[in-house]
Amino acid sequence: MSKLFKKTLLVVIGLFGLISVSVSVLSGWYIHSGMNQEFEVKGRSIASIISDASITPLLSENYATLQSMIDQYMHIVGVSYILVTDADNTPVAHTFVPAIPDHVHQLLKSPVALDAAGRTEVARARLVDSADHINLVTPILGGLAGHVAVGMDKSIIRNQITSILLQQQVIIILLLLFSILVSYLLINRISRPLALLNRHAEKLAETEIDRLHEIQSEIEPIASGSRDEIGALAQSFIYMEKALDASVRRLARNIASQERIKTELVVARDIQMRILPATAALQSMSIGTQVDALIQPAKEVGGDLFDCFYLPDKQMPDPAGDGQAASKRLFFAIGDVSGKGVPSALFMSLTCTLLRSKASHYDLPNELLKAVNKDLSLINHSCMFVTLFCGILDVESGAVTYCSAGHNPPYVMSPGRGVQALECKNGIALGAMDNAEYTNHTVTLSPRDTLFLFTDGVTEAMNRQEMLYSEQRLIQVLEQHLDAPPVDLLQSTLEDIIRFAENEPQADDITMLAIQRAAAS
Amino acid sequence: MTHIKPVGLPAPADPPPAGARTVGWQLRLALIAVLIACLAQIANAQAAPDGQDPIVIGMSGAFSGTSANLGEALHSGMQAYFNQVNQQGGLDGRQLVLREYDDGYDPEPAIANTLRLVRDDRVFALMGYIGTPTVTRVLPVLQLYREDQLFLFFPFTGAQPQRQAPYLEYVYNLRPSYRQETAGLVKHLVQAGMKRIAMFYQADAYGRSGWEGVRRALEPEGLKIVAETTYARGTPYNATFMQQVEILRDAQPDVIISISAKQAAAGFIRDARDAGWDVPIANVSFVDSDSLLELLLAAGRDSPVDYTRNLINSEVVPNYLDATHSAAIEFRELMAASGFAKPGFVSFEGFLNAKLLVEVLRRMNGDIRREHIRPIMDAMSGYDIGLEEPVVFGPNRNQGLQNVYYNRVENGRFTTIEDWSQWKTDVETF
Repeated sequence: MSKLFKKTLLVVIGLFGLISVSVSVLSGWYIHSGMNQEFEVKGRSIASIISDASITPLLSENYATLQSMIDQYMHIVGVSYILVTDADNTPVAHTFVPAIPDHVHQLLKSPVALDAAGRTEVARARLVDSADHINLVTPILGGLAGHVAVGMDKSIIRNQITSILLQQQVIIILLLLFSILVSYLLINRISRPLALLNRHAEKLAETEIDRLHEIQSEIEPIASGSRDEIGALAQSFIYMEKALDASVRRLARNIASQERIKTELVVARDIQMRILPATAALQSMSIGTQVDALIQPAKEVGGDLFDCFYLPDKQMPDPAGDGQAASKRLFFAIGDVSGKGVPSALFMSLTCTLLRSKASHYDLPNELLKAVNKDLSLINHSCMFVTLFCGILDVESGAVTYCSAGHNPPYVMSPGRGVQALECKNGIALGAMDNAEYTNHTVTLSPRDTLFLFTDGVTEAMNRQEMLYSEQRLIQVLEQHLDAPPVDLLQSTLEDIIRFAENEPQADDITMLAIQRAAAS
Repeated sequence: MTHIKPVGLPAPADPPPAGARTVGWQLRLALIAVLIACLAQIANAQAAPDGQDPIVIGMSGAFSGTSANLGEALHSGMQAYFNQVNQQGGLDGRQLVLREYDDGYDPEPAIANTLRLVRDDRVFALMGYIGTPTVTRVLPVLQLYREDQLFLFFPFTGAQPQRQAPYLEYVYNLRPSYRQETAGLVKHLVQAGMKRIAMFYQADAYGRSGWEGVRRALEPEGLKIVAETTYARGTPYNATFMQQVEILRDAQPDVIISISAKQAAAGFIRDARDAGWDVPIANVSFVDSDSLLELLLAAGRDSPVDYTRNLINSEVVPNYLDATHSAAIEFRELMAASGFAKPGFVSFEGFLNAKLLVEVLRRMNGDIRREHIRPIMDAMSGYDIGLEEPVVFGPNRNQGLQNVYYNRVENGRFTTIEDWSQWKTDVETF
């Protein structure tokens, strides 16, 4: 038996119990009062008729006629007895077998009935209700000729009520059984597909996604068969399973493509790093200067860049043709492309390529930047930009001509004077405006002075408390390493940053470039 | 002597009409025998040259139920006499036909039967009705047909209503009344010293008639009924009457007057005697003494108790075994030859009824019309019907006989009570 049916059964039985009780009480009451009233009226009429008809036989003492007359009324349903007394209150005709009961004798104790006004009641019946009878006592000629007592049998009323109530109960029980049968059939029709759906749902959890269609067939008849909520539920199941299937397939495809992209990004990063000059190459450029650079890439491909190479000397063509031995001008640059990801990486590659290809064509950094800016602006439809600091160091004189396009100013570290930020009028970042102008500045590095360039990945490195590494802390580190060779300087700075960050994931590329003039010879 | 089944009597093969008497098997056999034996004579009668209509007399009575004995007995006495008359050529060539219907001793069928007899069967007169509750209800029907001079002859009841206004003029009674029966009983009993009289009676007009008679007879003596109890009409012999016995015994009466039918009377006597109560019990004529005795004798055969002791029976006809009455001799001879049931008090009454009716019809001298009835009855001032007492009718006198007879049972037979003082002795020794 399903739980649903048990509950319904209890409710149905409860309801029928309620109906049965209320109907029985109501109809019992109605029948009782109705029949009581009817019996009273009947008894009154009979008593009154007998009272009138008794006068002549009573006065002529013709009791056989009187008896014959009252016997006729015994056929009327409900009449239990009739008794006629004479003026002395002696019974002269009655229908009792075997004798007149005492309680009926008692009824006749008050021979003359008086009405409310104290007058003699001529023929009005007096009602006396006893356990078994409705007794109606009527005076004959105001009691002077005698009395008539008519008893109406209450047991008939009781039997009638019992019989009607029994019939009602039988009908109600039949209806109850019928209702139980109907609700059993109905609930079975509801609960069977529900149970099937329930089993289906349990199976669903254990079934491989790609085999869903195999178990779907078992609920399809419910979905197509019934148009009620159950059918709708089954349809929802099927719809859900189809959607689940489609979604899982899509997800699988996405995962596959993401994997591919990831691989591609690794390759891209690798390529990007190869665009930048290798550390070994930088360290080997030591003609009176030591150069070192360090780039600590963040997880994704990013947009930091740096470069450093000797410009060809225009006055003295390069006899070896490699552009290095004869040149005295060292070009250096550091930059940071806005944003992250593949577009930034591409933009960075583009910037690097433009810088390399154009650097030899311009003597002054601002002209170079202007040209690179123009090219970048022309093809920059994605509104990307790159901050860049670049300069040219005369390795013999130590004179540096530099120019900034929205980049952090680098520091000059001098064993004698400490750490100082390079004064610089900041231009607009490259790629933002095609006709931007940039201003050149100059500074002269003393022997053993170090020029320290960096991107905001250094100063904006963040620890767990979301505090920034800051320029103050950077300056402190730099001040401790005024005399250190660039390799050590960059390594110590990176270690300090890592200490500060306390294993927090790195948000941006950390790029540093250090150029140190050799001691005076 | 063979008896003719008169023309017009419903043949046994006829389907009985609703409410018609259910013929007892003995009677049916007898009728069939008569029919077979007399086919030729019936044919002759039918082919009578004058071909006059029969004189049809209507009867409604108890042929079923607890009082069926009365109907059978009364009918047999009447029919036996009619058969004799018919056999002797009828009345001026007209046959006498008795048309009888069963009312089971119930008032409603009695009324229905009467209307049927008058309207459908167009009877000349009504006769031989049985019982007070039935007759008292039929009386208004007679009043209804007073213009047609419809008379009821000799009903088998001693009740008062048909002996007094307003029905005095529609009924002729032959038998003395219950008042006379009970008055005689009371007189004799009181004279014998039995003053504490209790009553056992049927709860209807019959019982009330007897009760009224006893009450009326006790009044001049300054006595009252010391206790009374009733039973329902139709109560059979095998029912218990212990309640009634106890009610009466509590009052310690000297004697009980029983106004009852055979079966209840026998049942009451049985229960009283079985309870060891030997009080004298007096019954009236309606009880059908012969049937009562038969029941009590049968009961006594299986019991050490003699149920016939201390019984007094009042009768409205003399003992039919008494040879002092010529009518009794004539009756016994007729019954012996008729093939009907054996004679008894009730069939004797039926015989006397039929004999008197035939006398009335004879006095019409062939002009049989209802208009002649009243003058003939008014003029009947001493017809000798064969009893010691002449039959006397007259204006305002509608009862022909006055004598009441008292019997007791001796050796299983009824004998006339000569000395009432014996009862007193019995009571005292009790």
